Amino acid sequence: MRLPRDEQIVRAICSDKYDRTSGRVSPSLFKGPNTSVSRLAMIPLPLQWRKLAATVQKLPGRRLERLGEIGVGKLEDLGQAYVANDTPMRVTLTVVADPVPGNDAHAIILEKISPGLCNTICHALTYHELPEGFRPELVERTG
Amino acid sequence: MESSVPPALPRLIFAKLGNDAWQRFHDFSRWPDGWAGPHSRAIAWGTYHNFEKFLDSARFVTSRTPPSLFVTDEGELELTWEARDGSAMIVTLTAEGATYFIESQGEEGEVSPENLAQLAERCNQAAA
Repeated sequence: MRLPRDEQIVRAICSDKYDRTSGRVSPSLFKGPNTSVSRLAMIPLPLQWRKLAATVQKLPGRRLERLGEIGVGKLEDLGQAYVANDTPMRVTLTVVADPVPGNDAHAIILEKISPGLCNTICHALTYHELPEGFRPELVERTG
Repeated sequence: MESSVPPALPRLIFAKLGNDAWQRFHDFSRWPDGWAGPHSRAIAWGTYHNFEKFLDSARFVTSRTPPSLFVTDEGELELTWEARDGSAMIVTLTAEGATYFIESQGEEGEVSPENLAQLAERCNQAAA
């Protein structure tokens, strides 16, 4: 099922895609294909942290650092408006529901996305920092 | 370091990218296949080799802070820094060469391993 344009989604940003020293986020965060995201309509933001930390921290050295939020409609519009090498690319971006065991809110962005468009998407994200007192390294892994 | 890391590469990373990138590389180079899920990959020998080739010719004198080093889910090594005008420079080293994005020129593309030194020089000029 394709998600409606008015839904908000979040992408987990782990230590491999975030440089805490410089504050830079890796453009490959959205490279894909099949980029995992989570639906705020099904799990509100305060409850996303524990759910995502339990599934993305597959190695002790890989830590959940931030969440990046964007609207499905905004994401689609960025793809359609993207210009590279002086050429309008009109990239179709498709976000579909993809419930998995233990996480009904899981969804995916189907397409593989170029570095330039990934960079544009990263600039459009609303970033959420770890809630005070939340320690992702203490969350038990389930994924 | 894993045995597939070229011996001179860690020192080159420290010299060109600084301590933080060196530490991150140290961690990433130990991550096995599956580190981010079933489709994620460890860094391939060819990627290390191409990273070394690119770094050999690259200069990062315009960036406000040293470039950031990331690893993609496919085990590619990604460098992100800023040009003098603050625009983004992104180069992702792969086993097949590199992909790049130069924001100030609205340009992106791919190069083969034979053209990595040329790409580095192009980035040097675009960032100046």
